[in-house]
Amino acid sequence: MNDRLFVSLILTVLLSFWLSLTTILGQQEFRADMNASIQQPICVQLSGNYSAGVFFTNRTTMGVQYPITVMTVLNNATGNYNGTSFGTTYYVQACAGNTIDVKVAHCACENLLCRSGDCAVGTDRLYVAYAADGGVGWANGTTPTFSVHSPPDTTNYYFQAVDDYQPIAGNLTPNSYIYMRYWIDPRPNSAPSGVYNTTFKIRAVEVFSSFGTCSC
Amino acid sequence: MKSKVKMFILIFILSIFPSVQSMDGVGIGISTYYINITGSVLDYYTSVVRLTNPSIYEVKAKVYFDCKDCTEDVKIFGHKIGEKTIDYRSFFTIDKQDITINPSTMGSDAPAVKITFSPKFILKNYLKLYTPEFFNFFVKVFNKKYENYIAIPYYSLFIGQKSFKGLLVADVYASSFGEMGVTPSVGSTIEINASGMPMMSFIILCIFFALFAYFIYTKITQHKKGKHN
Repeated sequence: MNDRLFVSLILTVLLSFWLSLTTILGQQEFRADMNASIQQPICVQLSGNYSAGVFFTNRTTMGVQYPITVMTVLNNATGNYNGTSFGTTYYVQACAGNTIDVKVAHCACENLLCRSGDCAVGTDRLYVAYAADGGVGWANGTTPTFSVHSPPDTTNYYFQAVDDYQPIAGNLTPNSYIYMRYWIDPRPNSAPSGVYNTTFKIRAVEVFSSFGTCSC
Repeated sequence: MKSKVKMFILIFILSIFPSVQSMDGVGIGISTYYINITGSVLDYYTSVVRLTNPSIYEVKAKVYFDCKDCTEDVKIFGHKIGEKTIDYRSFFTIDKQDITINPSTMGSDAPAVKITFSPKFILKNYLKLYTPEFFNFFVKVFNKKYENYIAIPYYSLFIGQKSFKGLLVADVYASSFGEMGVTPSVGSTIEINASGMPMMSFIILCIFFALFAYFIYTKITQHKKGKHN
């Protein structure tokens, strides 16, 4: 009799545990939804030229893309000075409806890969990260005509790697803008003739959040 | 006179062309910048966020969770041999991964994404083990896309507490704007604090199992002895 009692007790405990487990795993109907909808928006918008992409041209021509022929200097992006009063046409706007400040970063998905021409398609590349022979650099400002005309330094204002978010604006208040200029000093200098391209991302998060991982 | 008017119109169009080019492009937003969910395996919550589109173009966006703390290094004698990753879907799920957002959609008409928080008692994990170079060579003969590791799924009980952070990300990947060279993306922080089975409950459960096993064992041995006699 004692044995039966003991077994019954243990089986009851195990059964009740098993039942509670299957209830948890099975999502039974008797649990009520607690539903929350929050409005603390975060939003950004790019300029039209920025959305289209950053197209590099030679040192002297703005607005239209020409082949780069000098490989040892900083070559402009077409929109660097193509706006009103020679301002840049690349910008990110924190939406007016934001209720928080945001920070913004950019990330190159890949080095610029050869797509056509004499270069080996998909293999030859122009590196975005800085080294002694060049890279892709940038500068930022709060007005389109900001007076910075080359990357201010080689550590913070050149892409450091691909698939890596690099901050371009630390604190954008609602309805404010960050304006960008880009340059390429093609690397390697001996890159074969051809068309090279890649895509990149702009990510905005709340100022105290991390940018996360860049996966294109 | 007509030719002068035509010339004027042409010059006017050309003069506004650069400013047209610099008009607003593609954008995206999320209706909340922070989501904090605290609960246990017995809970079931939903939270609805909306994806907004400030631009005049329709956009298509990928929605996913980019976890910051889900992956830990696996080391043997201080040498990293792999990584273990908790599948966040053991804690919460996102009901849509691909969303189309109409132009200028900022309010309650914006498409909704439902986050369902319902931690499982049995968690799914992945163990990613890096394979040695000599092994990678042979595998790449058959599969050029092999990424030098093997991922093994495994399951574990959710005992104690688990906290992790990450971003609910909305990435634009296509738009009626046309071909995009630069795509916008926004992230909303998700912070999860979940409680599993308390350690003491687990210990009591183990004791019950042990007692039951012991009882069965003694019964079997008694039965065998009885038969023998």
